[in-house]
Amino acid sequence: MQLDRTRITIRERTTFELFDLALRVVRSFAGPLFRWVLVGVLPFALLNHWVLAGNPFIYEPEQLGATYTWWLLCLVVLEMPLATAPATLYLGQVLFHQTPTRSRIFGDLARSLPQLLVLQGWPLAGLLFCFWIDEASITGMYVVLAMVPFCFFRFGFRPYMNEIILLERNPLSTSNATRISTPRRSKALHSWSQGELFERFLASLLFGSGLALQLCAVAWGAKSWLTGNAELSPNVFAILLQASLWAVVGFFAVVRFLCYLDLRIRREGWEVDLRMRAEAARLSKELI
Amino acid sequence: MTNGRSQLDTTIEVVTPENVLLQYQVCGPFRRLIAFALDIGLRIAVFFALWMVVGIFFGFLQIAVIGVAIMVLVYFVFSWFYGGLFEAYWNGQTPGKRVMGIRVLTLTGEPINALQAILRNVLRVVDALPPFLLPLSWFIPDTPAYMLLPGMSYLAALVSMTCTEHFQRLGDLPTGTMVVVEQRRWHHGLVKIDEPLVVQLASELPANLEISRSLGKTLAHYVERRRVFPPARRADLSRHVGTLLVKRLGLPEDTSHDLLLCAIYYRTFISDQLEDPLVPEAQVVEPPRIPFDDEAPDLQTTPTATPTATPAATFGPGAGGTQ
Repeated sequence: MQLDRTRITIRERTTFELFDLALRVVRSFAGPLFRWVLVGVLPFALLNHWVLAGNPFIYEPEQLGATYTWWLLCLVVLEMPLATAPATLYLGQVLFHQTPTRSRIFGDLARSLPQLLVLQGWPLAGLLFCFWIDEASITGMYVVLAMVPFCFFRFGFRPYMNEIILLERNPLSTSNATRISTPRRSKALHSWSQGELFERFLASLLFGSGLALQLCAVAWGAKSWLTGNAELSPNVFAILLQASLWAVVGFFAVVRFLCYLDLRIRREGWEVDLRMRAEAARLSKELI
Repeated sequence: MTNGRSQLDTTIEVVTPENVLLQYQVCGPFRRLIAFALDIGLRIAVFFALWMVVGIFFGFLQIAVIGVAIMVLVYFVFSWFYGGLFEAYWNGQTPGKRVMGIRVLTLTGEPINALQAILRNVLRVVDALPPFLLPLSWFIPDTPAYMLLPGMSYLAALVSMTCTEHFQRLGDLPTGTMVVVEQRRWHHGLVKIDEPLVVQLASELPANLEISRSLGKTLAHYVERRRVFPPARRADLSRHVGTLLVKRLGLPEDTSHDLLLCAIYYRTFISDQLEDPLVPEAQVVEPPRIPFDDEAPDLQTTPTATPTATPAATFGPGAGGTQ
């Protein structure tokens, strides 16, 4: 692995440029990316269907337009970090011209899973617990409302926690003050860039919701055209909505990965670090 | 970072007929979408302003039907030729594109002509496909189910841009055009180093110091960027190469790696570039030759190896330990 030879040109970019580059990355690694997004997303899509379709207060045809969409959105937002973990690991490895293997990605995922669950999974667990104790999910609704500021904070100001956990693999906590842990690392990386992070969060929110709506509407149009029937049954609606949302989540996993690299370049001179390490490797070969 | 063609990036290189290599950043759908939205907003605002003026004027004359006819004509021109006319007269830009700092060019980097401008905008109807209808009840509760909101998805444009190297939508393909970002990049020349410690350390380095091309590029990049990092980060970044260079040059172990890298940069790119007026003409030390990566430097023939030089220290690949 030569550190200064990466699949993506490492340099500072603007938000729009990163979004454009994400399209290029998706085009170049379409097949494997689709597979790894699917691996991450499928269990959560089935879980969502099981949780929501089994709930008579949510899964009723009259409510499908609003209530179902709202609950599905909440679940998808909270599941996003866990569902995109395999795709993030794949991107992390493919960046350095490595050939990612299934065993390696699953191995890395297994190693990072405890931290992912502790730091990223608890809001989802809380919401699912509310569904479990209260079928009408009145409690869940309050929990979600309380979590809106948390979600803004997490995705607006600490958006790259997943990348830190999966790609940097620091310990969850450490008693040694000089050693870095995941929370400390997250604070160090995200601090002093809040304006830029929030701008990227808002841009992602804007484009993401537009793209999801567009995909859902086109899929519904295609279904109507193919079947000659514009009626939407609850099951078809659920499938179309979930597919659109997860497709957008998959794309924005790539965007988030690229934004993470960009933040490291701006804040820490990551591209200088890679060059220096590669040069050191070349020099040390000469010394041997 | 290496910038081989296998690397993914949004920049492209265009060789002009005059054999000049130009680098452009091609513009993808996201920035273009904002420009398009601005253009639509402007069109709507101008159309309504005109509607009011024309309505008042022809209403006053009691020939409202002529006003309606004029507005239909204005609508037609706005719908089909707004983008084309602006791009033809404003050298590939519309007001929205100008605000977003983007411009339409041909694939060879030349300005587009009127035919290309109009054709690529007329073909926008193909890019807008497929159309869709959304139930209004999704947005406004208690609306009857038969009330639908029509729209164009522009999915064809998105797919086309994703699949083409220059982010071309379908309208760009037959006209051979692309949209690029107009950016003014700062190209740094030599970084001025006036830290006394660096200058002093540079003077203590071997006189015939010669570095490889890759190390030269790495040092230049480091020195250019180090100013934005705090001292701790500088120490961290310079540690990998600095440790090896300290050993190679036989310097004290407590030498600051950051200062050492700056000193080598200073010696290589700044101090050696200056002609020393005290040195007789026959002994003028030429600027250091930076060997290519695959070129093993020959210590006997390098111009910097003057008779009074200290032991050679060369860092080019292929050269063994010369300390």
